[in-house]
Amino acid sequence: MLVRKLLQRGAGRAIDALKVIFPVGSTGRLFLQRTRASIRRYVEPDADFGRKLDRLLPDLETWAIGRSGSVFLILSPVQFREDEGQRATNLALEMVQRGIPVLFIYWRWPGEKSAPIEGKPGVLQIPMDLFLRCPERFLRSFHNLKRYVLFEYPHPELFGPLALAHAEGWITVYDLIDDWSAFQRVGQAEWYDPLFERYLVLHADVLLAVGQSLADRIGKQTGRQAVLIPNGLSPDITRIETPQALVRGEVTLGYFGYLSDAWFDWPLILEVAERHPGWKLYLIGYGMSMDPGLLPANVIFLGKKQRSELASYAANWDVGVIPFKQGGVARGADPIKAYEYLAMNLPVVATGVHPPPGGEEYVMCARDALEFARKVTEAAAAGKLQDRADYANNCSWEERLNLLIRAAAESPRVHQKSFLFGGVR
Amino acid sequence: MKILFVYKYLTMGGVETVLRARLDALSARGFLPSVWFLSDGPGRAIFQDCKARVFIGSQRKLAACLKREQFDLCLTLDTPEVFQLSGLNHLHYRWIVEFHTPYPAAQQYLRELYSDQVQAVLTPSFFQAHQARALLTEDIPVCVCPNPLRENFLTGPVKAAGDQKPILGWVGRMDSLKNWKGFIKLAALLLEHRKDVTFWLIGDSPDRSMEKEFERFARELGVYERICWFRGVDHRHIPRFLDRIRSSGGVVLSTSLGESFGMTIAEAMARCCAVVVPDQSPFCEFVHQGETGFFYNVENLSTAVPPLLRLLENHRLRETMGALGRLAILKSHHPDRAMSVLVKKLEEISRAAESCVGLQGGEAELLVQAHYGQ
Repeated sequence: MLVRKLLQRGAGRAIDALKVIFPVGSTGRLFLQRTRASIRRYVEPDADFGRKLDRLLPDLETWAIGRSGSVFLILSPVQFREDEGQRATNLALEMVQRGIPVLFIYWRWPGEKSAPIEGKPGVLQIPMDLFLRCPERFLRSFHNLKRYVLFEYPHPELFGPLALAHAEGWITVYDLIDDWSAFQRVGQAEWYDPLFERYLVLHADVLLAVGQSLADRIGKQTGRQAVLIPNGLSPDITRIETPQALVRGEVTLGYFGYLSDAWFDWPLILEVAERHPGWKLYLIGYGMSMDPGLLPANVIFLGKKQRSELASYAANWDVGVIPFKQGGVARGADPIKAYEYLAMNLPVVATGVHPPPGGEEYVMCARDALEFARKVTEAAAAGKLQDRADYANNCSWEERLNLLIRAAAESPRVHQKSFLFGGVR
Repeated sequence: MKILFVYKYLTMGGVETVLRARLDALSARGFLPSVWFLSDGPGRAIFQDCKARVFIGSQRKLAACLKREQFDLCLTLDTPEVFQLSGLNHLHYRWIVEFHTPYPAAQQYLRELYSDQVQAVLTPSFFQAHQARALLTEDIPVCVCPNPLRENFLTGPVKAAGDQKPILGWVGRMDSLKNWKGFIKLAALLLEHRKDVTFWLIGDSPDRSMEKEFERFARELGVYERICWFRGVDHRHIPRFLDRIRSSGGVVLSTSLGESFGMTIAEAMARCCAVVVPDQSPFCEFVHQGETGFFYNVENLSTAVPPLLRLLENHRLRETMGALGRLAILKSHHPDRAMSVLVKKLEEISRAAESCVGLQGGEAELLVQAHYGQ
């Protein structure tokens, strides 16, 4: 940052000196002005953020008025990345599809490159730190729309914005997508504050949970029942654009997704690979701490791939696997990849996680490497089953968003809010 | 008669709403009122349909306007900046000061007012008039003009459906004078007796650090999760919030350590809410113990617990008290009445000023005081 400041100061002085040579209105002067603006954008990338919002927020409201009459503000721990297929992104995509604009507020690590504010039409991406500087700018806007704020994680800095959202009549929704306390126990989500999560659970107008175990846990802790809205499926995930041929094994297994040590069960995978040298296991993803060169020969790391390419790789597999460590992190999760494997008509073998609700007969669960290997063999023998794909295809994000909006419409607290803010238009 | 009101801010606050109501009411009575704001802000929306009578500009521009226009009366609402306007001495403008601020630091400007600058001081309560008299160093008449309730509080209260857990409500600015911490402390005390009460804190503060302080303090007292905070509700929605509190079987509480009038409590009474307030002025001027509300000693918060419990447990008492409270407050602070008093006072001040030409200091004061019967 210091280097950038020095650069700005030095360049500024040089430009001031050159102004003597280039008179106002000359091409040289115009060039100097543009150079100075470019340096400023580099040094202070957020400098013109407020000015952009002055234009973009009213445009977004106008966009919604002609379409859905609603707006969502999503507070997400991750960026809006269509190639990663996170729940918040998928819900946002479905919203935009329906003409509901989305203010996608994402967590930005210090020094992390920002996403462009304007990307997909109907979606504005705002880093959380900039949002927190002036939440009023967002939460005191869109008065002509039905307004929802969706908390995808319980960051304690959101206490103030929650109070503001309540005061402004936004419908507040807490979407319980993970067991954050379990993440904290494995050294992640350091920001997690159980008291604030409890506050959010008790005070949000609508409480959702991605899985039954999370709903049960929070119900036991707070007495509040969550509406179950599992993860879903993007319809185009099964499309094969360019077939990819992979070397197959006696049994070919595959995994795609995040490979964090916090939940990916490497010891189990290595043991299975060692016991079954004739099998081949393909790993697609990111976040791996292990050196890929140290993997056994029958475990092949393909790196991160575009979501549009996944089906072409998976077409070579006999079984999709979810080898997660036993524990709170995996127990609370509802892996989207389970739906995606099933939609690709792959049998699924998993450890650590629960099968998706209603999909119990299509996902085989194991407790250790031996059982895992046995179930993989059974699953591979079962072959393709159309009802497996049919089940997954019924779990669309379109249906999930329907459930979310229905849960809000049926919530007594939302009715109460309508009363509080219904007297004045 | 041309009248100018001058106020520092143009926020979405209560003063702006009162000024808006005055523009309408005074125009309807044949006056020519205008408002001057020294700074711009979101309150423009309040004056959307009467822009011609609203001005926004610096002190310098205000001085120029005063030189250009001949106003018969100029009123300032806690805006002592008007006394720093230069080049107006020869115009002999004498201001009417509306003294509403309860904040001691902000009240000090009264000490520096001279009778040749100020015709009269108007206050919203007798208590505030008393404060004004204590601060003024010159003989300047002080008159009480009741604050008007805003129109949206006058319609019949609406019954709200919903969760029937009683709500204890607190409305106000979250600062040390309004004593929001007192509300948190009382929540902790009340929860020792009633576990089913929900607490609504409806308020905001321009100080962002208060957010952390609020969390810290509420956690320390073990009431964090019990308090629902509505940070900065638009005043237009407050009647519905009060209706919800009343319908839940709840009560509105003040823990304020200083008020010039106590508008939030008057508004709660207008919505038939039972109220519990500190046993000090100015609440004593419009709340009657056991009839339209209960008093407690704000220095000893535990004294609020018995009346709160009594109200929470007695539906009939709450209803009766709420109904009587509404009758009483509408009688004294209905906008028609408040506006009539204001008009009467302005006419009296204007007449007194005209008839006092040639009279000096003390004699003029005596005459004006005789007019007001004070």
